[in-house]
Amino acid sequence: MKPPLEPLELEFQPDGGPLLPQVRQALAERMGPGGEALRWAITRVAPPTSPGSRGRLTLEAVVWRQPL
Amino acid sequence: MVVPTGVGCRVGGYAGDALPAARLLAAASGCLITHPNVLNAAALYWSDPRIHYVEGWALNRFACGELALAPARQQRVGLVLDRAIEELLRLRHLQVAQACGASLGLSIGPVVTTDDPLGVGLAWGGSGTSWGSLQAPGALLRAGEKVVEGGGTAIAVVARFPDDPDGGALEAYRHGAGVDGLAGAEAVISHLLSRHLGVPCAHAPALAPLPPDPLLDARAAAEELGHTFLPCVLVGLSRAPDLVAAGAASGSGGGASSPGLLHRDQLGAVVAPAGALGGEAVLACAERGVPLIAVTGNPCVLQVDGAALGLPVVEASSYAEAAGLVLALREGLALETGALR
Repeated sequence: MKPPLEPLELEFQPDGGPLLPQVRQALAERMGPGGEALRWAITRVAPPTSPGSRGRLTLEAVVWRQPL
Repeated sequence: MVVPTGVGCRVGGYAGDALPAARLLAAASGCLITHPNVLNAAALYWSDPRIHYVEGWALNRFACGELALAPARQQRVGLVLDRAIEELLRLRHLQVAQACGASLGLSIGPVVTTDDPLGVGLAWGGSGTSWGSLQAPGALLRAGEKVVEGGGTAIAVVARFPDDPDGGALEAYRHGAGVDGLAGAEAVISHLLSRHLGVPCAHAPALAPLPPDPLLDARAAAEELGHTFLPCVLVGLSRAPDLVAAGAASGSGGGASSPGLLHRDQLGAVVAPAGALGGEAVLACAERGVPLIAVTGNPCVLQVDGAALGLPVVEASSYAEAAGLVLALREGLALETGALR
């Protein structure tokens, strides 16, 4: 059983669209059902690999899982 | 105004040391919404009706349009005390609550002790930011529920924190360098309670006193003036706005345009450290076209700036310059006007 509060670090490659929905989707996919990012932030951005693109993002979060 | 906690900001990374900047931005804007990390200076505080004290989770929800804020004349501030707090330290906190009632006229109560020790743990993220956890989050939530059942309309939480888990980090913090190692765990505690109860919340850590340090940095000094960090929390919460679900705010009960109700559509600008733009509130505002003023003169351990995220920003070298930009926006002046820059 996972602890109710746990840290999470994940990387993802955003496209050129709005970041917030992409961040939420990346977190939801990684946390799975029942997990909620109580606190999160983009903490690192890698240099973009091509002009005009975005760099790969690192997110750090604290995940809350409601006890059953 | 956002100064993320636990990321080592030069301004706002210590003990309420962004308060002067907040006061200036409040004067420039006429209405400033910010969070306890900006305003809490332990035994010191500054009450200004133009400044709205909104816990970080609620601030994020506000920025995302899920909550509106209803300014309140008075909150009854309940107190949650961690069962792990030793008896003498607990007495110090109870006496702060009594003093805020007797000397400031605040409405305080009820006081609830958690049924289990909260078990605060501190940790560091890969980026060098602080975070933390609780062994017994359910005990926190149950105590918060009792406060609300007992008539509290806002909640101050005091959790027993480890005194010196990393001596080097604490010494650096006291000397004005590095990251506040307690801040990340504090945010987790207040976010959890705000999310669960939907009322204004804020946290103060309970710690044993430190020996006096002649090299103490002025920005950290507010935390060494008294026995607790609680006074600023009680004062801040005493007039914190109520949190209103955006659906309720726009329903038949009055609507988002109800007099005095603050809604995200009214935001004129967001001001944040230039390297810490990757949080939910800032992104939510920036991606809706709210002018984002990035303060380059407030560095932190992160380098998540407008260029890295592809966000348009207006750079300000200092909070004084940011206040000038806010005032220009308020007056309808184009920020690119040569005479202003």
